[in-house]
Parts: sequence; C-alpha cells; structure tokens
Amino acid sequence: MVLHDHVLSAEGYAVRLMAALSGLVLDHRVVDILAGPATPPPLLEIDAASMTGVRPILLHLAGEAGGGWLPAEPAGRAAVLDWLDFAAGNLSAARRLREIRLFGRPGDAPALERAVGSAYRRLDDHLAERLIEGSPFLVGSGPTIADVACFPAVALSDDVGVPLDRFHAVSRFVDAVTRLPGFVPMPGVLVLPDPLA
Amino acid sequence: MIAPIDPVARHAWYPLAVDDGQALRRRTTLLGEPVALDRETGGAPAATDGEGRRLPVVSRHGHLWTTLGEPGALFDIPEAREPGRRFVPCGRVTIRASGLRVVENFLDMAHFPFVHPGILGDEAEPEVKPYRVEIVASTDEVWATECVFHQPRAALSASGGVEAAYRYRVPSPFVAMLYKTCPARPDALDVVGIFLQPRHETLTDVFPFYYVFDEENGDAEIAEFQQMIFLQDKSIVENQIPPTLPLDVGAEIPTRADASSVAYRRWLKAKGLTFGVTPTRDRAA
Repeated sequence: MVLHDHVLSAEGYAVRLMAALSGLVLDHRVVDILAGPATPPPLLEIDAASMTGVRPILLHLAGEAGGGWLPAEPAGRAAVLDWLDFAAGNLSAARRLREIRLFGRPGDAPALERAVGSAYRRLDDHLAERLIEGSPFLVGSGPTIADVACFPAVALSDDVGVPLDRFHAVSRFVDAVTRLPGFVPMPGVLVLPDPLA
Repeated sequence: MIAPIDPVARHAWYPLAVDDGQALRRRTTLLGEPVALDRETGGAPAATDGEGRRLPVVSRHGHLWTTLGEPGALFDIPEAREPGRRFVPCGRVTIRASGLRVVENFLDMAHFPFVHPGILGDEAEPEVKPYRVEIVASTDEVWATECVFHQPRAALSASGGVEAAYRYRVPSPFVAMLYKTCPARPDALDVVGIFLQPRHETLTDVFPFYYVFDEENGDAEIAEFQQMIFLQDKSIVENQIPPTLPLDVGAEIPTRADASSVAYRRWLKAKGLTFGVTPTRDRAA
C-alpha cells in the first residue's frame, strides 16, 4: 500500500497514525501540498486500485488491521461512522483554519474560528460524558478509527490557533491517544511526558 | 502602541513570494505596513504600499524581494552559481513570533536532540562542542564556524548518522543560512536557509529554501524534509516569552552553546534595530 501525502497534511496524518497504531506498513510518496491552492486529500494506492480521503482509507485500514478499530456490533459501528462524519464535516473548519494561519491560504478566519469553537465544544461535551463512563475514547472502551479521524484537528490546536484550555476532556483525549502503543506525532503535535511514567 | 519602523528595518530587503514565474496576487503586511504584490501572466512583478506608492522589486535567490526604504545591494549567495547545485524553495509558513526569534532558533544547535530527535540530533549526544563566532566587519555579517554536531539523519540524502560540520551566516537581520556537510558529496556543502518577511513585530512569514547537491530526490521530497524540520521548530519558537527578542544584557542568561545568539544580539543592538526587539525597560521610571 502506497500513501500519497505530505508530512504537514493533517488529513494525511490521520492515515499515518492509523497505520502506526495498528502496525500496518505503508510506503510513502510526497505530494507538494504547499504548491497548489488547496491541500489534496490523502490517496492510498492498493495494487491497481486507489482510494481518496480519510474516511474510505481509515475504513479500509480498519479492515486490514482487524481488532476493535471498527466495532462489529451495530450500535458501536454506527457511532464510529457518525464520528467519521463529524471529523470530515464539523472538524474540517479546524483543518481550513490551520491552513489559513500556517500557509496563508485564503478563507474567513473569524467564521472558521467560531465553527472550530463549537466543534471542539461538542467533542468536549461528549468526551466529558465518556470520561464519566470510564473511557477517554469516543466510542467503547478502546481506540477506534473515530478517535484517529478526530485526533489531528484537536492535537494540532496550536497551529489552528484555538487553544484547548477551555476543553479539558478534549485535552484528556489528546493525552490518551498519545499514550497508545505505536503512536507517532507529526510536526505541531506536542507530546508531553507522562507524569506517572 | 505600534512601534515606529527603525531605519535599519526600513531600508532592508524582504521576500514577499517564491518567484516561480507564475502570475500572482498577494495582499499582506511588511513591518506592519500593508503591501501588495502583483504579477500578470508573463508580466513583471509590481509591489505597492498602502498609499499606492510603487515599491522596488527584485528577483533574487528564487524569491521576489521588496523594501519600504532605500536599500543597498541585496546580499549575494555565491554558492548558488556552482554547477550541479539545485535550488529548492520550500513554500511559506507563518510563525507567531518576532522574526529575530526565528533567526536565533535557526542559529541554535543545542535544541537539535530534543526538537528534532532522530534527525538533526540524538538525545544521547546533546553536547554542543565549542565553535567560533565572529562579526565580519568588512561585510557586516555574523558568522559561526567550526560547528560540529552528531546527526542521525542530517539531510534527506543521508543514509546514516554523520558528524555534520556546520557554518552559519547571518547576512541581514531577517535572513539566516547555514552550510553543512552534504551527505551525498562529502567534498561539498549544502546550503539551507530562511528568508523572513516580518509582517508585524511578532508575526513572521518564513520562506525556507535549499541549495543542495541531491540527484536522488525530487523537489517535493526535499522541500518536505525542510518543512517538517521547520514545523518542529514552530511551537518551540512560538512559546518563547516574550515573543520579541530582548537585547538587554542579562535579560536572558546565555550558556557557552549560545555564543552565536550572543553575537547576533550584540550585532543587532549595535545596528540600532528595534523592530521585533523587546523594548528596553525604562530604568528612569
């Protein structure tokens, strides 16, 4: 499997992170994302076929990896698919705002900042409930592709320019994902040392 | 309060765009002033300030440069003319800090093992060995020479760890370059650098660039390597307090490894640069 993306692509990072966490090996081809007007989504080449975008690629990799990355039971599966939509929809504001702030791409920064705030808030509310239920992850007791899909938009909050200070449960979530075996960061993702380690 | 632009900053050249020969339209700020850069397809680039006044534009070192003042000649990069060397521009990245902080970070070797582990440094070998620093009076440049650092992956063309030899050059307050051992050609030096556009005192657009010997990798791969390293530096630079650069002696405590930073700050102070500098405490108050 060959992944076409760039080390600074937030969407590409979701795919790289999934591969790292699940022990899948991907070859890489660099796409110059800064050259064009918009960042192309990650593209995964599998034999003669290819798929584009985070959702289809994560679904495919979940199948390859096996385990609990995509729950088999309907309720968990539906919840994971909902969060994949959330990552591609609501959280896309964070990706666009990051590219305005980082690469000088055009866009309405104040409107996006409000959209990012409300997406982070919705995530925070859900994750706060999950913490009460005893899990730092979005669905169930362990990590799923929902967590991987949502992670870049919040882990890169520094580049997005919307601090996580007001979103404690999201901060706990970021922390929990960075502690998963096989975790890899990308530039802009700050991994703090574990105080309990 | 908006700081007035000091003469040193006003009369310097600044990059506004990578010069790829394409049509472009950019509305931005330089030293806090609005500037516009335009080029029609096939036409010459034109820059104007907020009042519509025409600004000088030159194309050098793969970028388009302008100035708000009356500058001297733009510094030369003689290595750029060496046969076989490739110029690779690495786009533009915005950093929320003074450009002077960005240059200082670029000159620093002590952070390699911690900010770029496994690439430019190794946490097991964090020592910065003594090196030479001088302010070259004839060219008015800061140089750090005889720098050596153990690097697991000094460049994209590297196949293993090397004792990388470095020389640093600051030809202008908002430009920093380094010459380092080229893994693919041990007799030659790669040139890596950053051209800075100070948009405001604490907001800077950075244009990283490469002049390298590398026949293996494409431009996108080479640029990605530099962009990755640069983005690793971003959060470190943005979290320095204050975001401007203090030039007062004793404002920050340097160690021996900071000799290049000490020389850079002394050089800036002697020039009288104030844009992006932390205001001196008013001791009379």
